[in-house]
Amino acid sequence: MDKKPLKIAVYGMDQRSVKTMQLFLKGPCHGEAVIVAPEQADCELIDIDHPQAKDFYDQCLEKHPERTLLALSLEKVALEHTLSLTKPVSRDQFLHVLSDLKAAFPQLKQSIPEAETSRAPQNTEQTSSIPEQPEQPPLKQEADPKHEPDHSAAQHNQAAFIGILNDIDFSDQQQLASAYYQAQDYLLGYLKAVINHAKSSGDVMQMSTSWKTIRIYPQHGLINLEANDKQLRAFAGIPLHQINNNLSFKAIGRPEPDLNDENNQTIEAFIWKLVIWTSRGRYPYKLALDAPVYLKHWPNFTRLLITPHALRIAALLMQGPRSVLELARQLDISPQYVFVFASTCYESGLLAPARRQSDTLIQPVPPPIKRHKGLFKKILNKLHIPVPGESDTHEST
Amino acid sequence: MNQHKIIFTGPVGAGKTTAIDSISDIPAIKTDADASDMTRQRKKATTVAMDYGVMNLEGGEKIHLYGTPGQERFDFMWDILVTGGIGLVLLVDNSRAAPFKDMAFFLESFSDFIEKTSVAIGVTQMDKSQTPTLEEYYAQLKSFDCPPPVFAVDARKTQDVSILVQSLLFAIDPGVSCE
Repeated sequence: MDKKPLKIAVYGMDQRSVKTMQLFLKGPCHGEAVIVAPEQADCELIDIDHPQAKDFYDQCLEKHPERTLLALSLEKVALEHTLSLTKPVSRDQFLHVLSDLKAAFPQLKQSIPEAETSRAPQNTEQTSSIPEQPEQPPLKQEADPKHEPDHSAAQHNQAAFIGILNDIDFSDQQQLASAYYQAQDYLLGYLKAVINHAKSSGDVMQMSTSWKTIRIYPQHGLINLEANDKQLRAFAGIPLHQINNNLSFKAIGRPEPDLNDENNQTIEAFIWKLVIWTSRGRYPYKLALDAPVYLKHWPNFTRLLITPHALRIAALLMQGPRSVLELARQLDISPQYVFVFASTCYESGLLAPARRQSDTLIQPVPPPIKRHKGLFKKILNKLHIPVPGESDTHEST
Repeated sequence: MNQHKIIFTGPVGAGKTTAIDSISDIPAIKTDADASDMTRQRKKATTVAMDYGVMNLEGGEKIHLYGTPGQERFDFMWDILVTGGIGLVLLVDNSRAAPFKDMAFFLESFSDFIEKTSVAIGVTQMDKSQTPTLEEYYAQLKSFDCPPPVFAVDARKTQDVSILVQSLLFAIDPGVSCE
């Protein structure tokens, strides 16, 4: 098998611990990951129990906001942008996290051993040779089409989009109820208010943040931001109070946008992405989990980032109002897939609580079992949305 | 082995042939001829019989992709075409004079078939003509109990056509999922 291990940079470990970790990755984890120098890494692992862990954490976020962080600790911790691993690390636990991470790196797509099967001894000292590091050259980065909708989120980037709520047990009603976000706590809320102001006045708005400047062209339906999606994703998930809340905006008249500027995006697509990266699997605070909601119409999926199961959720919701929890139950999917979809539609004005009396009186019926189920599944597998870099056009003959 | 079809329809120049080509495993077989009469202004050649493509599925099954002739005078073939079809993809050219009339015409013509299956609507040429908007298309579809998906589509893009066909399948059965 052509194995491409995930490259991990480690912080807060002495040489002995690093060596043990190398053996653990090579032995019990079958070489699914290797330890490399920070500049070559795909993701970063911090020992949170180290006295300087906070400094490492801040440095990692600052230097490589696009990378996923793994937090290794005795007590379970809930840190922004971080996947949590508790000590002692088990093979199953680590392989599970690696699986999530590899899903975020399509170049590394390969089979990861099932955690439940063929359990290997956990004693890392029993394994032998120490791998040289770094073992692999840095990953060749895919061309990063700056703002082209990455439709493949549904297939490969679940950890980056909805997979950070590993500290929430979705089967626990109390924890489930706490899995919400409030848009006004993030860039999303402020930006939406500025967009509304721009639309009502017709003026171009220039919004300043401690990070970048954003221009909104309401007449053209465009947003200009000099940042790629990875940078935006990192910034979107940070609560404003953690970044000094240093936001302001001003009207700058009605200059024409440079339509050839690759930093332009439609407001609709930009807000859609921003919601996904703000929500990260949480639901909007104002949306009741158990009250029926309706979908005004299908989102324009060909021009938007598609999250896992989004087409299915939209199709079911178009059949009639349902609560978000009912949607998850009927489709037999994890609630955070519905939460992130509901968030995007809610913040875009496509989804709202069903207010008609009949909506609450009529119990949603499960979708009837249709003919062709096996056939449809085959077609859907065939139509698997291509990952970035794959050709998306065919030459006409 | 069962033979299954997805039907692509729409007015002349809406992109049916291109859309089939985008997702077909074989180069789409075209039956174009020099256009005459009403179609000449839209494109030099138009489909006079039907376009054909195929998707090969696992297990040897095939999905046949048929494009209806763009000229209304061939509509006697449509009933034959839809027999055994699993759904309809309707492409509407947004740059034509009356895209809503076009949409209404094809929805009415295939109403029996849509009733039994479903339809997904792709609006092409939206880069050339941004109006009517998708919101306005949905306003035209109020009579549907369950409004069908309507997306902006570039028929040359496999991804766009793929999403449109996927939405068609999910509209028929949201319970189905891919691996």
